[in-house]
Amino acid sequence: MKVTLGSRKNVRLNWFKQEGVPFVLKRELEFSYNENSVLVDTVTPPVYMQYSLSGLSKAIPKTNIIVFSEGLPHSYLSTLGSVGDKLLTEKVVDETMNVVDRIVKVQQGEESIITKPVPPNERHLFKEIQIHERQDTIRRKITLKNEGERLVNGIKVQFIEKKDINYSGASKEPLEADPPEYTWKVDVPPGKSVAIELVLKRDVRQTYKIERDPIPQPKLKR
Amino acid sequence: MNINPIPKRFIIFSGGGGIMERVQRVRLSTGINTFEIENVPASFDPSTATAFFEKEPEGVNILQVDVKRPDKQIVENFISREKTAASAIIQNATDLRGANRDQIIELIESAHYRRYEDMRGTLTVTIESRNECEAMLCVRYFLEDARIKWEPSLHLSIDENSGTATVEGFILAMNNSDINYPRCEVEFAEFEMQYTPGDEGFLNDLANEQVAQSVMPRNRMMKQMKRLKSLVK
Repeated sequence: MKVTLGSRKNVRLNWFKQEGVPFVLKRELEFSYNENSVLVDTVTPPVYMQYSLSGLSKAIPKTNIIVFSEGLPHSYLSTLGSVGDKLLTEKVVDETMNVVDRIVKVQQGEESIITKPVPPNERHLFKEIQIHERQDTIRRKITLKNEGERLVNGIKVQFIEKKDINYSGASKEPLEADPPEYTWKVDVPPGKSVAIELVLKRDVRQTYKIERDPIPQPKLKR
Repeated sequence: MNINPIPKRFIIFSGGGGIMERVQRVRLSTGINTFEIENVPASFDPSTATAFFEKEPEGVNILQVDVKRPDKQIVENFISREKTAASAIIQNATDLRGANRDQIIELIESAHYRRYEDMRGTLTVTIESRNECEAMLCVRYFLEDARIKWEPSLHLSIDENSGTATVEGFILAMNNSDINYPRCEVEFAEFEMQYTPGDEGFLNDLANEQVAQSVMPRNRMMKQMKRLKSLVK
């Protein structure tokens, strides 16, 4: 393009305009727990949203994007650039979705004790090693509330199993169960809430070294 | 002979700087012809500056291209004095509301923001010709000036009912140098960079190199670029 670049001036150029570009607004809630966080009373994980555009005629480099809806600026996003004819914006928190993840019930499992011998170098200190194992059942309820004025459909809710925290069941069957990932698709009408209750298994394993009984010392005679 | 070829093609890099290609029809007489190119900024890279013909005429040969950047330390002393003078004009002015206010401000602003990159470098092309003829002489050089750069921006107007959007792309080109580039074909290259140059630009350490007197000039800008990602025309 022909441009006059004057000294100490910035020039804003129209680069391209393309109408009728199909887009999808993806929303995603991804969560997992560790041994401690699974017992936290309330967690408020964010829902991330991202625009996915396809059929673009121009290769777009890394840039900022201003999204307009009904003629007004709606959000300020950024992209790492297009790949082929596709463009993804970077994920941002969707403020219209309010998620509360609360603990419902903790059921402690029966404890089993396994005894193991002490390594030779510690035999003078410890009698034995005890491994206490149990499996707790934890129920958590994830409630997604749509604070906006439009129907939010197709929110991808994904639970990822971690070491010692496993999926056992849910109030709603996952759309896809590919351990360690379990995925649901949720539609939330405006002003309404949708809840998923998860049943999780927490493997608890604690190791104790049992000290030797003190050797009775002979009384010294004076 | 001094010539001022017009900028024909200017590829601006996203991280700052670019490649400039200038062209001018020149009349060659028999023997040695020397053309000194005007308005070559000191930010040009002497190690990669080239001269060539659009269509090489018969019996014409480019003998050499003389390149030189001004001494940074000396130039900076001059610039420092100019800046002091510019500040003094503003401070001592009794009335700056006259008809020439805008021109004065432009002049002072130019002096205030002047840097080494705004000074003039030397680019002289020596051509040997066996006969009198005309030719289109081109010069091409890198500009290691981080104050010349570009950035894209997108406006996305969405229609949630139809699931389609209107995408508008804009380019903001910035030229904070002292040189004008009138009506030239501009392209915009996006590079993956090793790191983004800071406010000091690419030529911050040039004075040390020049003082040593034994260091060959080197391109500082291209060293930071890993690969070309896209070229916007």
